[in-house]
Amino acid sequence: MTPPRMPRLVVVDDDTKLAEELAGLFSDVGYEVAGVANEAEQGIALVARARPDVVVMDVRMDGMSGTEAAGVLHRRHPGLPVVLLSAYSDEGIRKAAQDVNVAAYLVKGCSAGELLSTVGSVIKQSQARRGQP
Amino acid sequence: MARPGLAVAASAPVAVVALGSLPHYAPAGLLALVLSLAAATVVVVAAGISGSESGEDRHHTALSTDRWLARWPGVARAGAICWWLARLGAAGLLTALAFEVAGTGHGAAMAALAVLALAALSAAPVGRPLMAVALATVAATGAAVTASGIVALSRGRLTTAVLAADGTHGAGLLTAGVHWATTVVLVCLMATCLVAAGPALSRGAARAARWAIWAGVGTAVPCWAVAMPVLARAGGLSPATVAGLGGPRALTAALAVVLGPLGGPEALEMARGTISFACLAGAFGAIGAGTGVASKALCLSRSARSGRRAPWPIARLADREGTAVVTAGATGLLAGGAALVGPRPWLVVALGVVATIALVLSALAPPLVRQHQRLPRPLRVAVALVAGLAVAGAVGAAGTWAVGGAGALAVAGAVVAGPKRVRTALTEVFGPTRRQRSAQLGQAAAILAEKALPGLVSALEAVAAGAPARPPVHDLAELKAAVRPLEAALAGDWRPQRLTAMSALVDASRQVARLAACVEAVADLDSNRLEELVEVRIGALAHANRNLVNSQWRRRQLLERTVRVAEEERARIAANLHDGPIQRLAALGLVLDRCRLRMDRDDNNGARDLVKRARTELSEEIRSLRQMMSELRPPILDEGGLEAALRDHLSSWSSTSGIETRFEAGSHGLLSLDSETVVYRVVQEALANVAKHSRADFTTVTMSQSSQGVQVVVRDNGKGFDAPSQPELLRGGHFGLVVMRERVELASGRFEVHSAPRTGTEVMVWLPTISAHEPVEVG
Repeated sequence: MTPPRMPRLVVVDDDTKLAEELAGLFSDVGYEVAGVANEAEQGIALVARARPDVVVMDVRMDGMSGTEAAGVLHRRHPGLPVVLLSAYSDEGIRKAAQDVNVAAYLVKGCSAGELLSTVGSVIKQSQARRGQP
Repeated sequence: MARPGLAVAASAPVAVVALGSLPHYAPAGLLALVLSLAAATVVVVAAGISGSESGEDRHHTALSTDRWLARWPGVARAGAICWWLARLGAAGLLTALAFEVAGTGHGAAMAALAVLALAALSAAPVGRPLMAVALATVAATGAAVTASGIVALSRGRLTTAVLAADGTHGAGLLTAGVHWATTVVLVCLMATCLVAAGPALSRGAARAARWAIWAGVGTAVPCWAVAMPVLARAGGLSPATVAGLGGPRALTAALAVVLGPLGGPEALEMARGTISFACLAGAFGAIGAGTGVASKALCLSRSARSGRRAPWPIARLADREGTAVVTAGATGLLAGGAALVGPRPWLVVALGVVATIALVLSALAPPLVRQHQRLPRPLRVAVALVAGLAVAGAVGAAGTWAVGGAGALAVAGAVVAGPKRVRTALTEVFGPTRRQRSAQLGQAAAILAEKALPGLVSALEAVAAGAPARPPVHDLAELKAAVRPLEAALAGDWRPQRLTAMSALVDASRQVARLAACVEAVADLDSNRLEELVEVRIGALAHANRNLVNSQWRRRQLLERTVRVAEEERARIAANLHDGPIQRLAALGLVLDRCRLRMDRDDNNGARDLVKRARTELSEEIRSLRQMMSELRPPILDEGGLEAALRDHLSSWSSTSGIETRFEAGSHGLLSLDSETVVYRVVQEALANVAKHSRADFTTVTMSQSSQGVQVVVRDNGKGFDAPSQPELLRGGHFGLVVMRERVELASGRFEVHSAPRTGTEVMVWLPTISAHEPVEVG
């Protein structure tokens, strides 16, 4: 029996250091980090190539914002869960995120445990919807 | 011929006569004569100047002279007295000449009286300041000449009396008595003349003059009337001789009649002779005055017939109300001269001519005549009678042919002029009677109450109702004409408080005239003029409103800009916080979490690596935060001062922008912390502009002391621009320069931008240093 495939993940954040830390954290706990992108458009292209199970993405970026990119991904890859990570805790931004059907919205500065559990539960929900184990 | 020239020409015969008589005079008299001639010349020249204008101009001159007199009443009185003394002096001189020439004779004393009376009539002319100076000169000479004349007169009398008295003791007494009495009488006459100068005298002086008259008459007349018959009998002289020496017999006639029984048959004989002479003198006096009035009336009729002013000199004579009396006086002098024809005819004729010219010249001086016009009517009549009496005396001595001639002249003149003009001339010469004055008063009051005031009230009501209205011009002119003689009477009366009703009416008329002027002024503000005024005001208001709107617009723009800048600044800081510290700290949190995860897995090496990295990240973040803080408020500004802060900023700006810079700082005063901040921000903004717009490759910043302040100049070698005005900057949305200027000016500084295309740009900021007494704020 082949071991179950580790969830594949793409990190999109214009802050390179934070993106690296995110990638490192997910790698540390066993995720397969398919790639790190520093712009929304770059992230969308990477998703198309890597077919990740989940996308962790910053909201405020130069050019296309994370919310807009989430909308694009939702249209192109229905069912692909996107976890938005933002420095803002405004209700307005949170609501805008819900409007584009993001899977979860986290505020930067949350603990690694909260981030990992959220991402993990999002992946499970996604797999459950698609009928995968 | 000009007046001054005429005056000099007139003075020449006087000088000839005087010089011809030199042997008869003492040195004092000679000195007086010379002074008199000089003074006479000055006075007549001054009169010529004051009267040299013609027609209306002369009228205005006279009015201004009157105003001048009203302002300086003391000077007016002094001038009047001086002039009178000068005239009296001349009269005394002429009299003395007459006595010296004639040696004796009845007419001589009468001539002296005539001259004195005429001197009184022409009292008190005062013109311009020049005239006042001339009169001041005359004051001294007049007094001296008067004394000289009296002394000469007395000497002549004395000589005559001594000759007549055959050197007896009684004759000596008689001579002394006659001398004394004559002197006293002359003093009385002088006092009378003082009264004649009434309007020009103060009340006290007038009272003193009256006392002098009564004192003189009260002592001289009894002395003369009582002592003369007694002395005559004691001296063995005939009454006729005494009468011949007596002088003004008319004056003594009444008392002689009364005292006749006491004085015996001689006194009665003398009284009879005196009475008959007085009757004759009265008749001749009336003829003399009548001659004057007739000539005046004749001149008036000539003017009326021609419809214009009569030619010179008739016009001047006719226009002067004193002409009649002057004419009478001149006639008297000529007659007096005729009485003296016997001994030295040529000298007497010359004397008469000179006196006549002098009198005519006096008549030509307008102030003289006006003053005469202002004399109280009774006094004018009295003086005219005295003059007439003098004429009569002279004519009586000369012979009946002169009387006939004068009478014929008077009658002819009166007939030609007609009764109406004779009446007018009489009124003008002697002033209105009480009855005429009442009629004038009533007429003026009626015009005031029935025409002028109602018309004015109607005009005022119309104005109040909003309609422009004119005052009743015709009625007002009529009122003015009616009031004019009242004004003249008021001005001439030396006791105007007695004429209360007249004074009130004149005052009321003046008020009405002022009111009418006001109404006229209001009427002149017609609707067109009002509309013009309103338009001008509206224009001014619109201009002010535009300025206000512009000013408000500028303020609003600046406020919006300030709010926007503040908001942008907040957004920038928020973005910096978002992009910097929050990301860093979030990353650090993740690093620490990963570290804990590795430690849980006993991966101590991995955990140690992460801790090391976290430490590095933390240091980096602290540096980054310090940078941000420094941008918000450079600490070096507080710690090292403006110069260090500018140097620091310029260095970092140069490395950022790539533009070469030079910083020059001379010695300078100390700025307050707020001012330093302002300068720093302005330089910061200016440098930002250089980097953004100028395309310069070199920039200098100089800092120096400049007149109680610190001046910092940022100069670049870039492309430059046409420095626009503040409104243009605001309209174009270029708030940078505007805000810089506002900020500097708010701190009581100066901000200037000099630039032109291709010449680079220079931004100058100047702020005042804190004074030595002002406490320095320590940050």
